Amino acid sequence: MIWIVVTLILSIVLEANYINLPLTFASLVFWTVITQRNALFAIAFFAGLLLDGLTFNFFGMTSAYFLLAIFAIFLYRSKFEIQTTGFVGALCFLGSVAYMVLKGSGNVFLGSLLTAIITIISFRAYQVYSLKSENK
Amino acid sequence: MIRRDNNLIFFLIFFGITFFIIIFGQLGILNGGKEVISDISWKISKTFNFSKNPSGEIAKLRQENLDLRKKILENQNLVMENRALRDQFSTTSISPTSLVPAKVVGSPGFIPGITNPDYLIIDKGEKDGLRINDAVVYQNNFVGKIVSLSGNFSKVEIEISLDSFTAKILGDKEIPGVVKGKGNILIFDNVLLSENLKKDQMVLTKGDVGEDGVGVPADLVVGKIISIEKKSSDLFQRAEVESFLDFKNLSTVFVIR
Repeated sequence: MIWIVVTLILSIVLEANYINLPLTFASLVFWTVITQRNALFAIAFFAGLLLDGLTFNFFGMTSAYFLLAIFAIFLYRSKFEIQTTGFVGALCFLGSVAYMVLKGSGNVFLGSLLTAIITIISFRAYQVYSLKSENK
Repeated sequence: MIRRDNNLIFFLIFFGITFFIIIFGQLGILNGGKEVISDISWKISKTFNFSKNPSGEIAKLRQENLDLRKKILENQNLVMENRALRDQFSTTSISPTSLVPAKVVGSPGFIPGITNPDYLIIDKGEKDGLRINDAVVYQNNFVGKIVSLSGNFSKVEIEISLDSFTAKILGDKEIPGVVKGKGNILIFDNVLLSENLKKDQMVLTKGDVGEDGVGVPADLVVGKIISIEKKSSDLFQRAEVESFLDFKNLSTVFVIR
């Protein structure tokens, strides 16, 4: 759990201060797919509020968006397998597009693609690490 | 199944809270809370901030700058408004010697303080030289006409209660019409279809002073047009006029003698 919080805070800080990419959204997608825990709803809620506080956005909108995304993942999980690269990549890309369009950010396609790639790489790295851990 | 229900409950709880945050934020109820969360956000951000000149701080200062500029602009608008009001009050076209100040001592209405009064009672009457049909004004705004009076008091029927009086709009040319009081609103009626009425145009009194000097003088402000009703099937077009005066809160008026 601590890793989830730390990475989310880092992604919030990066997104608010340095990189105009939906890193927080990507982190939430990543952790939701990996852990599938209900606590992520609470984390998404607070992460959204923090992000709105840092970016002076409409208060609560980011939280609402994150919560909807996580809920969509859980709904999809009930029917299909979600721990696949394809799902993670597609969701990350489409979600980032919508997120950036809502925020009015520029370079929507490129930014979403980059975010999806980062998430896919992280997911693949985690999968390899998990596999190695299990083999040990 | 149980897991999905859990998800739904969690989602509904947090989404509900978020929804209320959004609504209350819109209503301005959560302004204090927003400040607190912004402060906390920035404190957390500072802990992880590595640059010498944190852009987060700059963004916050930029936002503060924008807020201050907005306040300056609002203040400037207030100063201009104040100046305009003072000018209007001090440079009335009506001669000060013919104005009799009168205190409103009664203004009965359906719901006092909420609905407009039906009429005003002022503390000046016949003994002060007032006559029936004398116009009552506030600054350059037409309030109403004296409809009955006694030695010391007079009853003023306010413009929204009056049957009708002639009025006009000054634009490229003068557009005549008749203002009729209809409950709580004024209707600028009997305007030819060929005339071009526009929203926010000022409606003024046309003047109906008799040979004895009694009546409503010209060029008193009645109100401004807020909506226009124009149908080609009708003989005339009409417009709804909103008065600038808050009749509920008038305390002093002036009678033109």
